[in-house]
Amino acid sequence: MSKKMIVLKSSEGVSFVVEEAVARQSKIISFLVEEFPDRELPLTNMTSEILRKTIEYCKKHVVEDDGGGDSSSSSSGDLKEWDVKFVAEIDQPRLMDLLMAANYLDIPSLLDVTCQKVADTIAACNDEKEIRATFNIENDFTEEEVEAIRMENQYPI
Amino acid sequence: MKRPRVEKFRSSQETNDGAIKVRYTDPIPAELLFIIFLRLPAKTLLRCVCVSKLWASTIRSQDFIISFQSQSRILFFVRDYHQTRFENWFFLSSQQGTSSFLSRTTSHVSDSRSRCRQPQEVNGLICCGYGTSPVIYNPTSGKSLTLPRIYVGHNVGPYVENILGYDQINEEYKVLSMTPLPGGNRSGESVIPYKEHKVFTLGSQGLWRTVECNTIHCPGTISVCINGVVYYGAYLGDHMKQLSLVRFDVRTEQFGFTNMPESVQTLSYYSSTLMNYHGKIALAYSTGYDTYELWVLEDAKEHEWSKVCFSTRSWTQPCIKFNVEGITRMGEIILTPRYGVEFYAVYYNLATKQFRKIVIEGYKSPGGVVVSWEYVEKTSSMLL
Repeated sequence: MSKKMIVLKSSEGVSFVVEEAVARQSKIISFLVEEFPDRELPLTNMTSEILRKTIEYCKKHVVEDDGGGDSSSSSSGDLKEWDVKFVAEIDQPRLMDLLMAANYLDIPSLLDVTCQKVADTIAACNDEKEIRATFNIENDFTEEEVEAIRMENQYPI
Repeated sequence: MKRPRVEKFRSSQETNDGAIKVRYTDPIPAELLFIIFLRLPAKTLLRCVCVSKLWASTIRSQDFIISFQSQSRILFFVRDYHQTRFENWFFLSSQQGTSSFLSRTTSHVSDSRSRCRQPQEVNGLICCGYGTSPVIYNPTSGKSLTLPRIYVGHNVGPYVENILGYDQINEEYKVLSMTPLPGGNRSGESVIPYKEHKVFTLGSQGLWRTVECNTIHCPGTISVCINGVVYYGAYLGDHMKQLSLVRFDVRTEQFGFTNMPESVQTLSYYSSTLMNYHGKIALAYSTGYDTYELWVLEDAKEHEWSKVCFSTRSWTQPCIKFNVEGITRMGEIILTPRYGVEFYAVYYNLATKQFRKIVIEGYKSPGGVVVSWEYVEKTSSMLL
């Protein structure tokens, strides 16, 4: 039996043909597929690169129903290992894009791994300056304000 | 200063060599920051609060503080026994399956008695149980505070018992200190009557204040603080033979006593643990190699207790004797193996009868005791 395919279109207009089961891991796509069957779905704020990455993740995580009940394509231990490798290989700007994509498409497991990776990255920074540099955040505090926060945040014990 | 324009998603900039260089410019939205920050230890949040105004306001919001402090985090406490004059204490935190090192501290050992009992966690702080100079630790920050010395009579110093309590109404921590009767331990018995009771409020400039307790008793268990009341098991009555639960109200500084269940009276407190069972105080007992009883206090004034039984027999690795360490907010009993070198805890869900094992990765027990509790990680500095 052939699998049902759907078409996702990136911001650059590139079309990606994906198995419906793969794409349905996104709650948003799942909803859109039901509302607008047999239509191309334009994802105007996702670049081809990020869309490709997201699909790669979803393909790995798809739970196939082969008639004999649900069976994941990989064991949970392998999958966890694969996830770690998947986010480890992504550079900082793309990680942020992927985090946004997971949030926008509402893919809980992808949101979980990207959030954890961002949290680990923050935790690995030595001070707030390094955090700002890593995440390209503008410092909107004055020196005095930072000093005041630091004073009041000291653990008395 | 003019702020740079924030573009949606990413801006593409053409560099000299003609290659398109993409640079991420969009800030992480507040709702995502919220879930990312929940995964960080409190110590890291102190750095994050200085990053930007958006980050600061997210971390300082009441919603975030409540969510952060209500998360299930397990505190692992490892004691290094190898030294004679002091012990190294290691605090590790485990959250959603990942563990991280929190802090390390050195505790001076004045007497072998101070090794006997585990320190207890109360609302994020830990008090070392014995001695005339109690020390309060914050495992999150790694800092400690030595309280003013308690002046006691001859030869009783190491027997002074200190219990930490927290009054959530006035947001005050207090230490209850108990001193044995002078010469009370002369007979060499382990159960000695305690007479003097003193209280010290953390953050106050004052000294130890004497509080009245008309019932002479001897503390015999660890203490547990629930809703502003400190509970501990004690011996009292003629020859200190009666087992009773002491209730010390941290705010009013009044004592109350409840009889332990009849079937417990013939036992000693050895291999028993007090715990917070869904907001009620409960005494867990080992009744056999792998069977346990949990006595839950239903009505303190009526001396009414109910009983829950459980067994670790169906745990996949048989022949392991466990210590009951405590309980999580979800009602999972925390057990640690009494022997062995592997560093882990087992959580037993009383409702579903399911076990789960939590391993602290990367840490080998340095031959000491492993204890774990569910604990509160402090975000704010408003401890004292």
